[in-house]
Amino acid sequence: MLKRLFATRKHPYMPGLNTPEQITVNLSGSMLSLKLPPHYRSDGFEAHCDPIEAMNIYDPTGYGGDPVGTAVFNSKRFISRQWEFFGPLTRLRYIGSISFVAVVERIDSLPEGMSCFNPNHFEQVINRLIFKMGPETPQIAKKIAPVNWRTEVKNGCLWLYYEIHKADDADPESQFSSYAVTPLDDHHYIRLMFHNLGNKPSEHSNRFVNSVRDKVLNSVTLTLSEYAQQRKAEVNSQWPDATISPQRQPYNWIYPEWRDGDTSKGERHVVITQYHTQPPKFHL
Amino acid sequence: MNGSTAKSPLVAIITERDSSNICRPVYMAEKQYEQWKFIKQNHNGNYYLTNLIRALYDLAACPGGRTHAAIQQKIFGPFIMHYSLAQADRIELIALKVDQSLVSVEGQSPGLYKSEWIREEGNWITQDGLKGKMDLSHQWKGAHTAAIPGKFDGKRDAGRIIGDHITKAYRAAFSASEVQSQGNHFSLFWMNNDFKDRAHVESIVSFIQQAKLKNTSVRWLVHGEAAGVFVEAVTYLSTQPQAGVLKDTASNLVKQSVFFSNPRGKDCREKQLEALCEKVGLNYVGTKINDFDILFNGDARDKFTDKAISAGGVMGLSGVTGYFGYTALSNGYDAVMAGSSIATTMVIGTSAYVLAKDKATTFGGYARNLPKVVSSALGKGNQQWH
Repeated sequence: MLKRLFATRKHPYMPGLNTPEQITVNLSGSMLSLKLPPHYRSDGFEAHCDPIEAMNIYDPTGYGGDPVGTAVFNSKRFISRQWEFFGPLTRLRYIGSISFVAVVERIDSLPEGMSCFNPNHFEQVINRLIFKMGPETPQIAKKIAPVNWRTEVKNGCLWLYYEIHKADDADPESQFSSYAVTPLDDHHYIRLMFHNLGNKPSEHSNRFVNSVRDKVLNSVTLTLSEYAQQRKAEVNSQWPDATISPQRQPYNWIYPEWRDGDTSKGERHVVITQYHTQPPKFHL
Repeated sequence: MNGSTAKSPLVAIITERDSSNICRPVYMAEKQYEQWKFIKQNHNGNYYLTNLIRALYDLAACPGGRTHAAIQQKIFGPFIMHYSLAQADRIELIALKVDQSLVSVEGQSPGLYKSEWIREEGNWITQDGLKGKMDLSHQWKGAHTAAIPGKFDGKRDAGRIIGDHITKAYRAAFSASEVQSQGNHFSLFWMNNDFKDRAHVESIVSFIQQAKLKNTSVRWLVHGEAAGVFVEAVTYLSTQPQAGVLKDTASNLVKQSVFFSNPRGKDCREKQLEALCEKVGLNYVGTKINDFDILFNGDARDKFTDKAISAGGVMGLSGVTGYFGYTALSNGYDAVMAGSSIATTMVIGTSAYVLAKDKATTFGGYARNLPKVVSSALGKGNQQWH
């Protein structure tokens, strides 16, 4: 409790940060292990989704997606929890929070012959996803992405890290999300999300949430299943020279025109009436 | 000015004929009358116009407030209503003033928002733009869902957390995964942590009435400090039926349900909430008390005190101090919350007594609705609303 007593905005206190739980998830034979701080919410509500020990990523049950736009991503969640962090005792409420969500995601519209194990194809998949979460979700705040794009190879697996920020920085709530993605097979990948909320000025809270993210990501290990390793080797030999961008600048999107759909007439709840920046296309 | 507008002929807009609860009629200048008549006839189902007409009914119904100062003002949303009490038997409406500065245009301005489940984020995300009215046709499991959060740093934090509260509170009706699907949203009435603003009570009254008017089922989730405001709104509905829809609300809200999540504030103990709901025919679903919320929740405090007493000496001095600490904190908190709102101070120095069409375009919902009134009532060409 001493840590709570001496917490400041610069050095916040997050319950359980130094006593994380070891979690191992079996995703159709691929083993993901990571250390996560325990779920903590001061309002007493339990976590969204306790870690699921084993998930069949090929079982369509539990996948949900959204057919808006031109690419379809479906995802299935296996962990979702929240962490709160606290500042000085003069403020009893938390000063910020992180919502951690882990999903397996499937891309359904990838052209025949393309594979997430090809680093170049994987980058295209993530580009498409980023576009979907930006201009193709026009009803929420405009986004800047990708920010702080970087890649890493860990235990033979390619990990890609990036952030999505709000374009309008005037809001007193500071908010951005960090993502870590890595392929599981041709059409599936893991996506770990950190949705961060803090107060302006955000310098301290951003530094803190990034340190939590790095701590979690440093603990992550993925061991691909035999089947996945075999597919990966085949894809590597098919495209031995494929690469992923080591660095990236954010897109200069122009958001589309859109309107609220009439769901009673079978329309989607958001109808994009005119694109300005066109959705990226897949290239084999 | 002597406080009366009697130089020009005055016309009564609200009289005893409108409701039995009227204790003093409201008069206004003839040139304002056509517009108000239009509002009076067409406000049903329109949140903004209903707010305006209710302001008139409030003036007509409220006893008290009669002081020697002849000119009074009532502030709600971006409006300041100036009226005169110079004549003992009636209210004379002098002007309705619009001041945009009363409504913050920052990202956190109070009002109605949508919080939507965004699959790719795995979270409820609050949209930025203010909404004019609840999208009552959007329902899950047979009802529209609406939430009124208490204290949060911002509407995004509120939307994210309250979305969870909804799925936990109504778990008997649906599972989280059933409603966490793309395109689903709930209405979020964000008060931006100002729980003393009378205008919020009126907004909530409007929302309840609109749902009632459209005979729509609504599932409410009322959280924290908002419970006190909600209680005020429901109490108002039960005691001022003339300000109802503006009739007919009385005691039949059976299609609306409410769950209180960690309620805080006056008259917000579980039993009181249940009794109030019963009184107005609102379906009481439940209350979740955070046992650790001893600072602000009466029930949790009792429980804590019971524990403190039963634990006797074990609690020791620190327990007792903790308990006394509550009173001090609570008083401090109330004092801060009771302080004059920014709105009150902003009034000074403004002098725009008209709503001009060009300015109106930036007013959000009021802007979209009022020009219609102006043009409907007076035809094209009249762009001012005195």
